[in-house]
Amino acid sequence: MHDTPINERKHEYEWPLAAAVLGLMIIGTAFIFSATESQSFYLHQVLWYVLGVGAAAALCYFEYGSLARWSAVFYWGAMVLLLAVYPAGAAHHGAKRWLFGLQPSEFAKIAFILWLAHYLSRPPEELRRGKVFLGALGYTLLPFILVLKEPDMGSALVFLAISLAMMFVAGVPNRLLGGLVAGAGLLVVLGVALILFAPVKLKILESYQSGRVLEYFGRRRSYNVEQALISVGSGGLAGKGWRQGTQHALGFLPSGGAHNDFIFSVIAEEEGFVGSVVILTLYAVLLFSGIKIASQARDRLGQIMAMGVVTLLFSHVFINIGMNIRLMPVAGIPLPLLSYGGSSVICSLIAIGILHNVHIYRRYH
Amino acid sequence: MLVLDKFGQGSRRLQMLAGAMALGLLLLLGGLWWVQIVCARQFETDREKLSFRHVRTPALRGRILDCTTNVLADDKPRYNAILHLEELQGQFSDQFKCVLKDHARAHPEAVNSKGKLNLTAALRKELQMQADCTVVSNIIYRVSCSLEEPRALNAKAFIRHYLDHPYVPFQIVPNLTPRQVAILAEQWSGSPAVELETQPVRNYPNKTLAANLLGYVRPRQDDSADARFSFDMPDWQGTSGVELIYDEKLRGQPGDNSVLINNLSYRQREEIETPDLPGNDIYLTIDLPLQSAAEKALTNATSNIRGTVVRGAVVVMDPRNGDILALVSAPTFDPNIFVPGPTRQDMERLDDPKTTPQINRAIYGVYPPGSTFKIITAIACLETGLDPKAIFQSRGYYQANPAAKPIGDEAAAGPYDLERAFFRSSNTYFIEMGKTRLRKILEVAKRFHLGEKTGLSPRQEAAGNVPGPEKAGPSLGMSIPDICIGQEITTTPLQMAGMISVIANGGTLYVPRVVSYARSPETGERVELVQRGVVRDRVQINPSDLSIIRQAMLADTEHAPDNLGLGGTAYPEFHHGGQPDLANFPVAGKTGTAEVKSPRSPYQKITWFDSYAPFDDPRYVVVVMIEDGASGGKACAPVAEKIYEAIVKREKSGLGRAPTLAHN
Repeated sequence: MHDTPINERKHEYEWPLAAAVLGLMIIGTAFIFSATESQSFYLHQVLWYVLGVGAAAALCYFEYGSLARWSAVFYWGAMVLLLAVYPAGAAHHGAKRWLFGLQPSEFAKIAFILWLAHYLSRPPEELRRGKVFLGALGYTLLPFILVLKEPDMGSALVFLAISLAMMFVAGVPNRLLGGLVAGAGLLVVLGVALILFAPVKLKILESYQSGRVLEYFGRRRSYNVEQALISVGSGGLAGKGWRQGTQHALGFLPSGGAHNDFIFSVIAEEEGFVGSVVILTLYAVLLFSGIKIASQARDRLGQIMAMGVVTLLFSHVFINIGMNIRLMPVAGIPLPLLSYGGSSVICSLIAIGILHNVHIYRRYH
Repeated sequence: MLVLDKFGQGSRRLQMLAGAMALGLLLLLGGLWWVQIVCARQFETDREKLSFRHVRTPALRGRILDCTTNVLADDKPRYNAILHLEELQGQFSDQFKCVLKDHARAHPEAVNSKGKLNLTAALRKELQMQADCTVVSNIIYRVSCSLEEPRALNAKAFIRHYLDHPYVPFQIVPNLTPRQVAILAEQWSGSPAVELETQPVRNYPNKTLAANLLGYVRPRQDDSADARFSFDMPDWQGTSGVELIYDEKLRGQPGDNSVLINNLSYRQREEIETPDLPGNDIYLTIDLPLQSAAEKALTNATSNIRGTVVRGAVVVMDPRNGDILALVSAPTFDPNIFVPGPTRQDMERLDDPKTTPQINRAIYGVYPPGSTFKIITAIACLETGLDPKAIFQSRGYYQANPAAKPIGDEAAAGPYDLERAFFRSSNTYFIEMGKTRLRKILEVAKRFHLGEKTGLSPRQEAAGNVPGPEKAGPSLGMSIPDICIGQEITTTPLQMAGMISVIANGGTLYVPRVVSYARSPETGERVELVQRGVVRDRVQINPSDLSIIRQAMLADTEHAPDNLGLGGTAYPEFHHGGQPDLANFPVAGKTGTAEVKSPRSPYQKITWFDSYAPFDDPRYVVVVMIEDGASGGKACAPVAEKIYEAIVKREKSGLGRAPTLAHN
């Protein structure tokens, strides 16, 4: 069984993964068409899909080990772009997230995964050292703070989640991770408590962010969340049918959000619980294929990298769908492959490309 | 999972992460199940509440018709120019941009470094409203100019409408003439925002005819509206008369239009959720030609009254069943004026305390019956042993004692028996005969239910004042001689018609009836509202007494002047040139003239002519009452005579009431 060389590249697809991706892209096109009343958005989305698949395919020509060697460049390049958002970026609904029509934070997530995987792929013994742990923590906090100040609390939290999962997989000792989780948890609890119970103008978060926390805990009415909930809930079991949803057609869902961060409520209204289950199933296939790829990875680098990607996708799915049913506060986190938007679509596909990369250079038995 | 083993701790941690993610997805699944399955109904209701508005659409009001289906009240279309606000969204936002530009130019300090205008939410809203008002104002001006009726926008009314119900069209020019309708169709049919709306409004084709009976409608104002509805289309509400009493039947069931709206509350789609159910038609017992003839006869009787405007009432009743064929009150009003709303002059005229045109004098006016009450006095005397043939020498006036003020008498001094005293209307005779029989008189009046409401109208009916026999005594507080000749006590013309009917039909007092049945225009189903010929009471009268009274009443119109030139008080009005005006249609009647001494009273005299005909087979009772007439004979009898002429004419043409079959 061991006569095939370990580095050989096998052109094999992880078929369930590919099918799930294709399914999500088709559904995405269909519902962007529905949500935007047949404007040309869905054509743009198809274009993003094509570009994203192309980028992912191109990525697979480089073995992920070589990608990791360049990851420092990607990481610092991304940090520069995140900084560039402040003077040059375009504000959108009060947040500076855009640079030349792209969202640097999306690309930063990919670069961050590559770099942290590279950093953590050193021998497990080294990870027990506090200095290494602090290094990893520092590389996480830098984009975390830059993104938080954009302000984009959702994406900042995604960085934290990815970092935690990757360190966990890499084998950072439980006591260090436990301390980190406890510290972060304490901070979040303190922050929420401050917002909820001490209306002193302590500028920890931007006012809209504290507002979202207030909304989440039911201390303030949120128009968007209420509309999204009505949209999802009124879908019922079977939904109203494709293009029959009224919440977005009548403009109750935030305009410009229905095909974007709130695409899930459009799908849920038009296809009901059945549609929701289909979407969740597709994501489950995507995520567990990813975990399977991680488990079959050739080396620790591949495994950590794959789990970083899986965590990225999972946290987007969880935050976005959770926001539609009031499980999570409103955060500008797109739903991978379904939400309209170039940065999000291309980055999601690049991330899946990395997964595939790990898959084709996997171990063989 | 052999694969995972190679990584030792790493694979265990992978499994834990996989488990955490599975848990996360299950949490989402559970949340979705809760929202989409468990709470689905609640959210669907929320969505309905959010995106649907219910507009109450009034049903077409039922018509009011007479006994031969002549229309007394119906609906006619009114045309209004309306504006669909949802069609103006584009113009609103264009205008708003202009307003913003102007604002930036006027307030350079509000513009930030990037050339953006900083506005507070309140100011932004105000500017938006300003832009919307400008757009609508321009359209209204252009439309109204093309309709040759320039109008300015009532900004306050528009803003209220726009904020509360932008999904309902806004009325811009109401009540278009046919010419304006044509202009609108020709010049504005291409504009989706401007449309012609048809609104049914109440119409009384015969103008003032039977106005006091029919009543009128006003725009509905009651707040009993269903909470389900967020907008009430204008509707009518019966305010008096039949319109008020049968308002519910006439109004029908309003419909429910559900309007789909968008997040800005603009109308997207509209559908009829519940169609309205047109109101029932109400059929009256009134006979329109007879009503019309009676009104004409009464209002033209200006020669023998004080003043120029006839104030009076006529009741024409079928004595065989109590059906009212005509119910007239004068002066009256045109109920059509309440549709656009009465003007100030209209209101002044309506509220004139001297003429009180809104009062239905036939049922709501209380008047002393005067000498017509002598019918009651005569019956009371006959029942207590008066010999009708006994002769009484009248002095020509009555004086209780030498110190008292004498009561005058139109009947000259001389010998009187009952019949002569009746057709000459001798006060002296009836006071002398009646003053000792007060209790009996009041008892007979009670038997005829004088001074009591008849039950014709649940509202708007007066009782009058006739004391019961138990009141006879020193504490009565009325002058006994006055009661004997029908003064001080009061009744309504309708009650007098009931009394005459009892005389005419031999003893049955019917519940008078003016409304017969309601008919659904949809199904044709008829519902009897008031039964015909409901017996209110059987009035006990001796047949011989009855015949004496009837003969005396006949003599009032038929007894030609004797050698002294003295005949029935109504004889001259029924015999012009010595010949009866109504051949083969003998009328039995009684005139009456009551003097009213109260200084606060708007009238000094009440004159009457109460009658029935034909004498042998009574089919009509005609009661005429005029305020401040010269006398019952001069003012009221001619009115009755004209009404009988109309009746005879109608019977001859085969349209009148059929004679009673023998032994029926």
